[in-house]
Amino acid sequence: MFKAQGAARLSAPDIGQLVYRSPGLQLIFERISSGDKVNILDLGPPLSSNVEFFSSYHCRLYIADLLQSLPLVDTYWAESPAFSPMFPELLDFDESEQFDIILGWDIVNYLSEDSIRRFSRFIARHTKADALCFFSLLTHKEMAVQPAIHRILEEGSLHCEQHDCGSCASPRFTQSRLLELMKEFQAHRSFLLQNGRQEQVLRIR
Amino acid sequence: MFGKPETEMQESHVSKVSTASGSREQATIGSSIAIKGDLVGEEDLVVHGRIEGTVTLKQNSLLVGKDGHIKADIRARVIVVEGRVEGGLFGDEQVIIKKSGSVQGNIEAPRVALEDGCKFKGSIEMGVASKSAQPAAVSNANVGNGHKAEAVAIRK
Repeated sequence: MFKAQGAARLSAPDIGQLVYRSPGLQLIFERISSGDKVNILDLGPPLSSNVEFFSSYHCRLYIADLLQSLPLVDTYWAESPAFSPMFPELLDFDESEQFDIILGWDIVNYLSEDSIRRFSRFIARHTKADALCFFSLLTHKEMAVQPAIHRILEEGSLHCEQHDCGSCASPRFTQSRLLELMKEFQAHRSFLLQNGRQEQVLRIR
Repeated sequence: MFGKPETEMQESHVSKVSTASGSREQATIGSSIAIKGDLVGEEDLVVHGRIEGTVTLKQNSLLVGKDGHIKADIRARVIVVEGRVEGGLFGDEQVIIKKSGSVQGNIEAPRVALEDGCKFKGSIEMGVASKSAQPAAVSNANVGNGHKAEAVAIRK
């Protein structure tokens, strides 16, 4: 089911940075390059390189910067597990907003299982029937405390930047577990990379 | 200098200053000024205070300084944000959000540049012909276009 892909670490002074080919992202770009205007939701932070990259496509880019708000998520749910309007508050786009592409990057690794269910329910309401959703799962035992920053270098090539902020246990989600939690979605393609990342491209059911 | 007496401001608060080159003039809204209403102008503007309403500088540039806070839709030739904006940014040429800038709203402009480290939540319309600018090329010199300072009208 998975295809192994190459990965290359940068030189020693750049520890914490990784450049690799991303076959999952390549699928996304094929969709963006189709010519039709696409509505993209990027859950990552605003990055000059990514904005510049997308500017050469006919698209609308919505930057949600959700990863920045993640520390709040667990705090909120720890204090009030029944508090459901969390994602509508963090992602306050119009009720009618529908996306063709969703770039979720590392997000599911940093959400509790309950949070993933809520996230999936919320985001599915804003996902077009033929939309593609990109997530990167971590398969190593440990992961950095903070999510990585992903810069798009070119089509299908990513620069992953990880700050030295300590490590914690990784949830090590399998594809089947992820799909159990995100039951509104189904697997479209998945790729296991040599760097320990498992890229998931999902579609709505 | 201003359209309506109720929002008229003192010369000491809204001043016209020359840039370093001496060839450009721009109006400045000081950090103690708060404006509620629609602001229309035909000269470059630097905002260090607060504006709530709309801002329209069709042929000119707007710089929202680090202490500036605008809660309004902004239309201008070039918009540079170093402070905080809640509202849409419509740039005829370019919109730039600097590292210290914070924007919650949608952006429409032929060229959009976000510096890494800025805070931005909203959408960016990308046209086929549009191309982002390099943040490195951005400086305060973008604000000011050589037009003579004429007026900043504030409509209530």
